[in-house]
Formats: sequence, structure tokens, C-alpha cells
Amino acid sequence: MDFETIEKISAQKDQGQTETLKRFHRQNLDRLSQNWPIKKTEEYKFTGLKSFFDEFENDQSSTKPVSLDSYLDHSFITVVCLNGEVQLPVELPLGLKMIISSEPTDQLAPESDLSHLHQAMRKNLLTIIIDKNTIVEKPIRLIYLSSTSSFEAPAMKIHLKSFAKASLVEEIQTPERRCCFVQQAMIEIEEGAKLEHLQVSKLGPTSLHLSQTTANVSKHGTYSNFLLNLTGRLNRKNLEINLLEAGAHGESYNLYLTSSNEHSDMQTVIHHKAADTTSNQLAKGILDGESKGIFTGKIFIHPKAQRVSSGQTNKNLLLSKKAQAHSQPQLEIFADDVKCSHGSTTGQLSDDEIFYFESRGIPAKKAKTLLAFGFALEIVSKITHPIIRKNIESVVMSCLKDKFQLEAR
Amino acid sequence: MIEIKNLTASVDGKEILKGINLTVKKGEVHAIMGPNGSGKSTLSKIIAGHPAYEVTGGEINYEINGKMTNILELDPAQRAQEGIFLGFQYPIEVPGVSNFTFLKESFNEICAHQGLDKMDDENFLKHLRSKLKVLEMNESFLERSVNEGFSGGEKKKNEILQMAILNPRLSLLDETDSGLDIDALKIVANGVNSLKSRFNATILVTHYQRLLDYIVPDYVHVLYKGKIIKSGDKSLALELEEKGYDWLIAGEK
Repeated sequence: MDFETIEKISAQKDQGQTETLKRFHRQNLDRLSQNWPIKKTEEYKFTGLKSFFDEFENDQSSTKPVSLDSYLDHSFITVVCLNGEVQLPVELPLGLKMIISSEPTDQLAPESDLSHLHQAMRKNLLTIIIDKNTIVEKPIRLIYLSSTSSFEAPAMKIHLKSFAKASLVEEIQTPERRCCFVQQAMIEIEEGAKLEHLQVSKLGPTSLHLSQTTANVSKHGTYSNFLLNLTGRLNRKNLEINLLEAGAHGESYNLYLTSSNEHSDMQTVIHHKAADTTSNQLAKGILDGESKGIFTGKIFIHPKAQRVSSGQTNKNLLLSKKAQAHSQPQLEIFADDVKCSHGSTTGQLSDDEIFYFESRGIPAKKAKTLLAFGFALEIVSKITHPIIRKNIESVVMSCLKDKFQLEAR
Repeated sequence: MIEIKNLTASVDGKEILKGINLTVKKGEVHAIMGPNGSGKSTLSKIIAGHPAYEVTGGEINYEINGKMTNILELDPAQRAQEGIFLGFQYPIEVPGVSNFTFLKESFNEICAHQGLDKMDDENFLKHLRSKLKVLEMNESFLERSVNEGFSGGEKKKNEILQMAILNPRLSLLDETDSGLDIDALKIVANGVNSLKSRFNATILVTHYQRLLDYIVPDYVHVLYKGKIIKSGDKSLALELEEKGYDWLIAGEK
């Protein structure tokens, strides 16, 4: 994908849009052009975006219809985003609003080459608002699909007003297509509000998914993020959680399952900007083939942020000799009364564990599946909504089976 | 049931078993005793098929469908499916896999091998409950990860629970008494005894005579430096308890 291609795609996204949005696209293209091709920086030490974008071809010649039937699950409030067009549910529970704005020039992520690329392509913005004291019992499920090989730039903003509570699952599914998703999400958590937010990538073997997620958490608010990189040529996720006031709590759980030449790179930043804020972080990877998994966890404890407690753990399970795991904890602490911990381990399945299963009649392949699943379960068990947890459990299990050619449970 | 002929084996190039001959018939209990490092645990692991050991010679013939078959070519899971069970000296901790899942998966594998239908969760739980009772184990054991955070005694009970569920034809119990206090020892021994029948056999590997007060062997063998140097009935164990191994070993040196 060269710059001309990007301009061409941006022009396609311009069609039928307002002058304001066209101007927004143009501005971002201009800014991007100054830095194209995207250079390798410290942030992208292990992930050269240029080479991944070079692989991407914008070929929209073949279209395969997508059947939406399989997504009709009444235990969720489902929003389908097909080829960039958001289809809202007919009815929504009281206190939950969804708005699509067609002039979406909002700033949702910090300025970077990636945000300029996204903003040069953005077509609309889905805003979800949950009113004060509203508890949305059913999980909201946002599914991004594509019927053709394409470049998509989904944008979403969710705002939980005081003491609201909700669960949101965002899924990108492009099993048979060559797609590039450059996504932005912005989360506002007001006082005492609570959001559980999963971002699940199930991409085809040539698809790319890059995302920037930013969450601002106010007094006694809680934000739990789950990044689940299940499949895809490239999954590069940037997550930023800002804990702005006392009692704000942030959680970040990452799971990456990589095989063959897949590449997963997660970069999380947690800012403790106020005293008495807490965070917890767990990242786990299962890596096979010649795949790579990178986890960079930055925790900033700002000078005024006393009595902060923060923990970070990264564990990797390598299933092959050629798979690589890179773990980079980065803690920057500018306050003195804080409790901070971090740890990182990388290991393999032990022969003794496998033999134990075999000695009970369970063949080695199945033993490995069960052990790998057991490893991943630590992340899945953190999901609090029972419907989501059950759903993700089976998704992870079938993904492990497919990926690592392991047998059924 | 099992006939071991001239079995030699090594690990990392070091010879550990130097020609073992042992025959165990249905309904029998054999105890294998011997000082540390004599090869007792190795023998039981090799019968179960542990990949760390290299069998350099001999045969292990085991009765499968009424025919004596050399099982050295079978992988550990196949041997387990044919009814060989190894109770571990140090049971492995498996984080993230619940005891229930582990038991159910192994039970269903063995059922599938025998051409039986899988049991659903509800019926399997009923089956489990009766076995838990015998071992005086709480049902909460089922939800916990396999052996994770279990005490020494709980781990050993868990081994016998697995044995009770899988109902093996040949049980190899490696130092099942180690780490058990006297009450736990009685419960475990009671569990093993309740599973004994004229159709199955047990090989106990142990350091001490203590266990043999509760699980009475028909034969006792002394293993030293990779060979069986003496066999006898249960009185041999008592003699060893009294005199130690030296009087036997002296002749070997």
C-alpha cells in the first residue's frame, strides 16, 4: 500500500460526505504525507508498520456476501458494522442511547501517524451514551464485518454517566478476507461508573488490525479492558488508561494467541494522575510457529499520585522453538508512597505435565490443548459478565484447537 | 497380567535398570522395596511409558484382550487406556485445569477406548461423589485446579481418587505412603483395598514396611542397583524392617 493507494481509499470514503469531513480527511492526509512511509520509532521497535502496510493490497474486486444470521443472539444488544456502515438495533433499553454522527471530526486518540491514517479514512462515529444510574444488563456487542477486502476506520465513543454500568464487546471478524482495520475508541467513565470492555480480533491470516483505545476514568469509576488478539497477520493495539481522580480503578487484560507468521504487539499505558488510584494488569501469550508476541506495559505514577497501588504481570507460553516473546515492563514513578509490582515469565509446557495427562489416558495433543486452555483461562476468568465469559471461553477453546492443530475438548 | 523380561533401561546414558524379571498375576499385590536410588520409581515410570527413560533391552508383556502383548511400542496414553495406572510419588500441579475436567477427560478417554458412551456431567458427578466419600474428600476438590495448592496428603488422596475413577487393571503406586500421616494413610490404604479384586493387580513401590501393614502384599521384592536381588512373601518386608538392607546388599557387594 503506497501513499497513492491511501489517497485513493480516502477519496472513496469522501463520497457522499459533507465538505467538513472531506476537509478533515484532506488535513490528515497532508499531515500523514509528511511522514510517509511511517518511520520506525521506539514505540514500534518490534513492529515495522511500513512492511505490514506494504503487504496490504486494496483489492475490492471480489465480494462475498456476509450472512448476519449467526450474529443474531438475543442475549446481546447487537450492533453490526458492515463495510463501515453502522446498523443500529431497532430498540434499545431505557437509558442507553446510540448516535451515529456523519461529521465525525472528534479527536479520539493522541496525535500520531496512526491517528492521522485513521482520521483520513474515518466515515462516521458511533457514540454510545449510558445515562446516570443506568445499569445495562445485557452486554452490548459491536461486530465489525467486511464483505470485501477493504480498509476500514471504525470509530467509537462510549460515555458512561455517573454510576452507570455496562459491558461492551467489540469484535472484528474478517476470516476469509484481506482487510486492514485502523480503529479508534474513546471511553469516558464518570463518577462511580463501571465498564467492562472487550476488544476481540478474529482476523484472516492476511488481515491487519491496528487500534488506539483511550479511557478516562473519574472518581471511583472502574474501567476493565480486555484485548484478545486471537488471529490475524498483525494485531497492534495501543491502550491508554487515564486514572484522573481518587478511587479510579483501571484493569488491563491481554491475551494473544499467535501461530505461523502472526504478529501481536500490545502497548498499554496506565497513567495514575491522582492519589488513591489503583490498577491491575495481566498479559498472557501462547505462541507457536514463527510468530511474535510483544507486550509493552507502561505505568506512569504522576508526582501527586500518592497511595497508588499498581500491579503488572506478563506470562508467555512458547509452543515452538522459533516463536518469540518480548516483554517490556516500563514503570515510571514520580510519587514516593506507592505500591507497585511487575513480573514477567516465559516458559514451555513441561514434559512432566504432559506425561501426567497421558498417564491418565489423555493423548498428548489433547493434553496440550487442555494445558494451553488452562493457561489462557486465567485471563478469561477475569471477565465478570457470565454470558460474555461463557462465549469467550468457547471462542478461545475453538481458536486454540484451530491454531495449534490441537484436538477437540 | 504382566510379565517383565530382562528389562534394561537408562536415562541420559546412565544405566538404571540392569535386567529386571518380574511376573504379576491377576488378583496379586506385589511390593517393591529397596534403598534410595535402586531404580524402584524408574521401573514404575517405565511401565507407564515415561519418555525420559530409554529402554535398552528386554520386554514388558501385558495382557490386552486376553493376549500377552509387548507394550513398549505403546505411548503412555494408550497404556493408560489399556488399564495401566501410575500413582505418582510427586503428583503434578496443573494450574487452570480443574480437577473435575481432568477426571472427566480421562474417564471419557478410557470409556471411548473401550467403546463405551461418554458420560454427561451430571451422571459423572454422581459417579464421582461415591468415590469422594470413600476417600473422605470434600466436593470442593473438584473445582480446584489439579493438585494446585494441595497438601501432600491431599495430593495422594487425589491420586487414589483418579485410580478409583479409572478403575485400572494394573496399578503402580509409587511411594503412595510418603507424606501421609497415619490417618491419611489409613484412608488411602482403605481406598486402594476397596478397589482390589481378583481381576486386577497392584504393584506397590515403597521405602517402608509401614504401608504394608495396611495393604498386605502377596510378594515382596527387593530392588538394588537395578536388579531384583531377593523375593519373598510379606515376612521379607518385616525382616527388612528389622534388619535394614545391609544384610542383603552385603552379598551383592
